[in-house]
Amino acid sequence: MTRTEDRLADALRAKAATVRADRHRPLPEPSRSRARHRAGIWLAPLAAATAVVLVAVTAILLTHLYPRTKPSVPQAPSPVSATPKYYAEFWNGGQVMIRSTATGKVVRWAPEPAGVFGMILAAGPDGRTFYMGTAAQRSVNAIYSFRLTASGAVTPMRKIDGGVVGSTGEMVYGLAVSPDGTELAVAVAGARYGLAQTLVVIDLRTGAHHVWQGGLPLWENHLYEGVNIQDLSWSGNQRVDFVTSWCGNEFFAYCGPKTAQVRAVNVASGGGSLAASTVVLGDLARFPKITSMVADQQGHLTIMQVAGWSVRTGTVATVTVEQVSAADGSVQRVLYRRRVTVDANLDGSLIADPSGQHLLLWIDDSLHGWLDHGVLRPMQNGQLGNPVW
Amino acid sequence: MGQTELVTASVAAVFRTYHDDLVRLAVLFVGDQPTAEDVVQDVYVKMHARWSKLPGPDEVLPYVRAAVLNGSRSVLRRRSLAHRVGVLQRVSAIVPPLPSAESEAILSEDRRRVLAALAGLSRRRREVLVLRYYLGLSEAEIAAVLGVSAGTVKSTAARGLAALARELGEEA
Repeated sequence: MTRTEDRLADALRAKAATVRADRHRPLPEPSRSRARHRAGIWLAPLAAATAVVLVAVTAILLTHLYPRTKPSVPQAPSPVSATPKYYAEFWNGGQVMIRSTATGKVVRWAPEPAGVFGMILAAGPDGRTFYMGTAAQRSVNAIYSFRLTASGAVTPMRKIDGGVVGSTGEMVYGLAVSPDGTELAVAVAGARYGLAQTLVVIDLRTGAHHVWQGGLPLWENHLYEGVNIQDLSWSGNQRVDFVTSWCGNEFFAYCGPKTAQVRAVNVASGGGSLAASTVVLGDLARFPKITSMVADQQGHLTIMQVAGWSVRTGTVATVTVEQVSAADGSVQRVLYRRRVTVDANLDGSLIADPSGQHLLLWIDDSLHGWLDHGVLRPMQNGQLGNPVW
Repeated sequence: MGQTELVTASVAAVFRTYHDDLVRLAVLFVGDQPTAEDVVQDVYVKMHARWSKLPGPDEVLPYVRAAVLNGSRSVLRRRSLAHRVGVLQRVSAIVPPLPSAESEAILSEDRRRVLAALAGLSRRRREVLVLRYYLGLSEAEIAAVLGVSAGTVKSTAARGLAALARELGEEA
């Protein structure tokens, strides 16, 4: 090196050495809700004015849409076709919120146990029992549950029997309760970047586990080879259907052009390999990118799929929610279709209520609400921290 | 459940590994530790929001370095703008804090001269030289971080070094 280069390298090293690692501020706690990009400061007044207008318009609309019932305490879910009155979602402060569907108002809080970091929620078929999966980065990887009582109170969260799944560093990635409420399907994701590759079905009466293992870890192979679980749902009391991701959600630059699949495992088989699961919808050009799926006991699959979007190039996508036949993949009904602007994150879900008739739908910050006969009813004040009902 | 939560812990792991290095890198651009930490924290938060844009594991570090570089540029732009409109004294948040006596003591007069000369270079030249002579990156690696060709890196480094040598009264 020349003298100039030597002096430069020395000066840079010395300057960098002035950084005192012991004085670093801790990194901020990441948000569990959809991260929002900070707008410029100049946007604040504009946003405030817009918000005032939106609130006024929304209030007027709600006055017409909903009766003037005071949201007091959660009551028993109404029979079949009524939209659930409440939904649950995470709040960043370590609690689960029970919110009014109509107004978004928080009507109850369910505090997480100390040291527990909840990641995902699922509701039982009674609409009153909720399950919460956690991340093991802070604690044991466990499933907790809580209930809304008949009087509207929230019971303390407790770890369910057999609720410890996976090992340190792994995460509960997906949860689904069986139609009869006796079993809980849990998708567990590995510690590294990757999708859930383990399915655990917990017998909620005994705590017994049945385990299905996925394929090879994504990280080691760089190529998508294993079967993973992007989303899961029960299509009967003995059958768990799940969506395998298209190409690892494009998170890896190395994955190939694999399309999504819907597969199913028979719980009565007691466990085994995810690779041996039954293909329900497979490698279909019409369903290249399924982000979420809800199965029912009548042989229908309701899928959310995205077209025209790429993490590398695109920001505008067409989201379609449609009901397809599990028998032959034919499209029976298109429930919703819309072009949305997606920032960087393509992350969304369909969540059915206990009746299976009402679907929560969310994609990032772009689209969130519930489907009401083809119309998207926006969530009010939603944080979108993995809402369930 | 989406992947955002899943990746949360992984992103945290990346930053636990590289946090010190990234703050040091940012210090070389923005000049002080508090601002450098702000830059790195912003990158950390943004990575959570944009996890799906992250490249594969082999490319994560260049990606994060590029993000730190971009964050540093934003800080410098804000400072430049504040100077231009004459509000520097009133906008404490964007004023670079004075270096501590401790950090000043570490830097000799000669080093300060070199750093001052470096600060006088264009942004692109400064970035290339820091990446080359602090991180020891190859031309190809610098090209990946900056999003330019390796040829551009080579010529920019040569011109930057020549300018630095002139400023320091040397022959590059």
